[in-house]
Amino acid sequence: MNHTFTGWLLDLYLNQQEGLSLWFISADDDSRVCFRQHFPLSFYVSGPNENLRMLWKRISGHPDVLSLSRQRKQDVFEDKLVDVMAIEMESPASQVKLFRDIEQVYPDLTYYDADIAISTRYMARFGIFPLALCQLQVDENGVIQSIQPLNDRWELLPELPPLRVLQVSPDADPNRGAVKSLLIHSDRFEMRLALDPQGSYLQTLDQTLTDYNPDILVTDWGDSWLIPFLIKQSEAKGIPLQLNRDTSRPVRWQKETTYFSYGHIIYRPEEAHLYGRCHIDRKSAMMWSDYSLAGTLEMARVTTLPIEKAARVSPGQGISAMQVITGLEKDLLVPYQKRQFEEFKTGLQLIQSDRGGMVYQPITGLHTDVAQIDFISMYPAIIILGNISPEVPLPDGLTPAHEDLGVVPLTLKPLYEKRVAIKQKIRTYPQNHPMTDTLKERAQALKWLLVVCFGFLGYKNARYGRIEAHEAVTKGGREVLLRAKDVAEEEGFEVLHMYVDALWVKKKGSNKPEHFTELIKKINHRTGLTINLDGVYRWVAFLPSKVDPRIPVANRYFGVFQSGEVKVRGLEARRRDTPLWIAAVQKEMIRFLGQARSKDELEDCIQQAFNCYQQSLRALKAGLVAPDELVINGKVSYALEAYKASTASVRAARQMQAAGMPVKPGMRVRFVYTKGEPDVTAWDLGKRVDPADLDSAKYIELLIRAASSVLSPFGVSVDILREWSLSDALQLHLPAVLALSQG
Amino acid sequence: MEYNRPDSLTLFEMPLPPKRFLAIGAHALSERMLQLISALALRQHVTVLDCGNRSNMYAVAKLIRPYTPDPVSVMNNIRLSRAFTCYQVLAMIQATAKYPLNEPLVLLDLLATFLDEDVELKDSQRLLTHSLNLLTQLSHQVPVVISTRQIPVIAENRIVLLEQLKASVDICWEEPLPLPTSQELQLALF
Amino acid sequence: MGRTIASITQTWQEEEAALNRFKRALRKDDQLLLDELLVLSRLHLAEASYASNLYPLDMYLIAILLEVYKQLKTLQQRLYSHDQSKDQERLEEEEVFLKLITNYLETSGERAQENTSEAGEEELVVVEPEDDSSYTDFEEAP
Repeated sequence: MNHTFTGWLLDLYLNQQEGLSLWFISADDDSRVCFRQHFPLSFYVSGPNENLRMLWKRISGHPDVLSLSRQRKQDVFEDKLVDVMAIEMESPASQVKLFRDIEQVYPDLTYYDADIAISTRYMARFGIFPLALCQLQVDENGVIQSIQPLNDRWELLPELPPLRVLQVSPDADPNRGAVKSLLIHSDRFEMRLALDPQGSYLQTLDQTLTDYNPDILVTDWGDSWLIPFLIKQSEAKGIPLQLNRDTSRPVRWQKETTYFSYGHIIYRPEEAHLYGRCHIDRKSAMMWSDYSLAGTLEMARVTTLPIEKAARVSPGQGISAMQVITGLEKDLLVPYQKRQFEEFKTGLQLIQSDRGGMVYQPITGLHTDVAQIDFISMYPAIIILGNISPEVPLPDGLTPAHEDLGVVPLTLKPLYEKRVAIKQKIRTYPQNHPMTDTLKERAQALKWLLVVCFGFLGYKNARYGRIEAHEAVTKGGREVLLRAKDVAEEEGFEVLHMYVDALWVKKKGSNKPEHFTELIKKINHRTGLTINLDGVYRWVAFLPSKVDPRIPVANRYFGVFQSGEVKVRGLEARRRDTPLWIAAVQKEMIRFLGQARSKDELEDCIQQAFNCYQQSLRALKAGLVAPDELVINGKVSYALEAYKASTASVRAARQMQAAGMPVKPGMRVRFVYTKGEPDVTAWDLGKRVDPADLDSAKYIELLIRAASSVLSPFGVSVDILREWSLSDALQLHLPAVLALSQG
Repeated sequence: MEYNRPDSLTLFEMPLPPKRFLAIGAHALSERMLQLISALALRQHVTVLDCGNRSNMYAVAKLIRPYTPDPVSVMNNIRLSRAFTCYQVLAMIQATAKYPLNEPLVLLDLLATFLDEDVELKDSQRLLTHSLNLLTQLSHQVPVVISTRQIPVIAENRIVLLEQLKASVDICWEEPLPLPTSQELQLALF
Repeated sequence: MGRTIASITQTWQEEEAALNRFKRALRKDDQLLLDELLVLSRLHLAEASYASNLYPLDMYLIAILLEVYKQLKTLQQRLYSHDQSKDQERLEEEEVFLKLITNYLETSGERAQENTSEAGEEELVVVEPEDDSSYTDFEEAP
């Protein structure tokens, strides 16, 4: 006899015996329940008839093969339907195994729907995703007979489960020093567990996990230290520690990897995955600093990636999963290996098409009453407006060449609309509304998905990637930006700068948001896209190159909006490898400058910023800055053996290596500059470094550069600043310096 | 030097007969291959399969400029496609071999994507075998010129691919490796 | 799937490097001026990229010409403003003189009337300024 169950899906994974295991949070009594579900599924093979016949003969007696049939289905990159052999399998686990086996024997056949993640398949079949509210019919054995979603991925304010989140963190950075205790935190309690030699902390932790029964375990260094440590201690001391809700399974380990993404080498350490419960390591959660838990859950919801995966992987994988779902929903074959190559072009056509966004050289210097206007998610909007997708004819400019939306715009449209809706919702809230922060994090997660979708279109391994489509988007982007420029100039504005999807404009007498309304309306009309006023700057400084001050640089500027908010791009404070203390000094200097409400107030504010710099310089010279505030967060992109020239990061990495701490490509390497030989000391070796050991000259130079970035638009040249800072000359009043620099 | 016709800068004697040519060197001899493409495009149509992101057409435009009043037409003599995975390389060659070819075929940095660690060696070998068989068929009709880089030390298990490629061509030119520095040459005193 | 064609910045650097021999043979002062000219072309990299010309160098040269012309126009404007204030002064002086001569003519009675036709023609003669630069040319400047 079946019973009805209502609850939210938390976790889903393969069950070797019966298809799938699914964990739910009950909407009736808050219990956490696991059900099973049969999940037969199909994959497809095409190729020469003779080979298919041989394959048929080989697998037709296989116990897990439910049926074999011939079908005609649509491959996204083919004009005609493709003849395929459909292989229906008993369960996902058996499908994965059989596919791996036959692919070894028949590698030249073309496979479809062969390597799709189970959460993606589940969504495509039932419309159910992580944290979906569902209604199920379950038999007396706990096997799901039917399931329907009660909400969808695109709801603005969905009904969410009362999640139990347990935070477990070591009391120190395990890479830097000895960990003495664990800090445990939930919405109901807090405790500190000393790491006693008898291991009683293990018993307490195990009991907590049983009693509190968290849905999400949030850790620091969980993947790289905490969980391996706990498991090792549990085994060594013979004290059981059950991290999984599904007690029949051990923790699943995903091995470490290094990969290339968006111009960077990324290192991902080994990952600890749980069953029935989600483990998120804040130190290895890729986007945590950007949108933490609310954003991660939103990411899982719209992409259908399991929560653990959504926390760790790049948004590109999320977009990929979403596109595959769209493909499955449209009954399109999802290729296993991407074979689609570029259509032939002439040499001239390649020169014309292989271009990116338009990046102008700004008019450098200080400007007042400047509006920054940005297109909202420009590339996704162009993809949707122009119907740019690998399987449909590409637009000429912005006008779509085909009516029916292709896979890629069909995937993006609800995502784009949801993000716009969330941002509009936030605007309706009064200040300090309790939902504002959560909604902002969710909007941020969606923004990242939209940001990467364009790059993904041009990604070599993307199933729905196609370089011509990628080029069509950038072409559309250039056209849109130039139309916006035309409109701005027709309306009498001077265009100070343009950068891919943003313009900085000014016009005498225009210094309030309402002065730009008409401009925005006309740009929206001329382009068909939506442009937004980011804000009106009281003043903004576009900086030149640090190497040659005559050359403008596209993405180095700072300014203050009329709201008082400071915006900084490309300066030292924004770089990961700038020491925290130097970044703080620069930010403080900008904050002083930001207090100027008009040009008249600027001189006083410049003086204050300069005074701040002077005080910081004195402190640095006197050795009053703690070494841990001067740590450089370097990076090693390649294997150490591959480096011919030795950078500071590489020298520090070699010290780590010599101490038995291997450094993989893509790993961050922290160090400080020290006097004498060696000239760097790797920070994670745990060696004590006194202020007197630091190479103050190097840090003074870093400080000078950071200060000069801020003061140069106001007439203070870096050469004078350096001369002054390195000598022990008496402090001169600022106007005298300005007079000096003017020559 | 600047006034020599591009032919004299090419590795192989022009005009090229229908054979398989291989050029091995650092950066898959990008510069030399672009010179070859320029020399060919000045005379006739040429098909270029770029397997390693090497087809900088600006360089070709500069090379042909002194020798033609109509550089646009010469650039339009070049028909090219790019592949970014070894699966795409094979698909690209299969598509090229589908119809009779009447012009030279140039493949830039053929092995680049076959060295990708994400592709198992046996798959790389299998795909390369198919690719080379097709190129052999094509070389009966037109000259096929292939360039490749030397295999770097960190990918030395893939050297079999270079050996396979070398064994499949008629004419091979390999850039001499740089001489060891004088420091390395210096013999120990004792 | 990476970019294949060299970026506009890369092609600029290649063209700059191609000038190295020429630059080396220049006198020091000329080398500095050449550097300044090349820097001017960097102000229009985005436009040169958008042009997608087979020969980016052609676009850099146009960009240099444009910037040099801009500087020329700025200088001309400064010169012109200086002249304009002179002209304005001159107009005011003429206005004063006309007023004097008109009053004189009105108060001097018959002598003015007898000589009207000749005097009128003489009074209405406008003296062309000696300077060739014209207001119209500046207005039409891009």
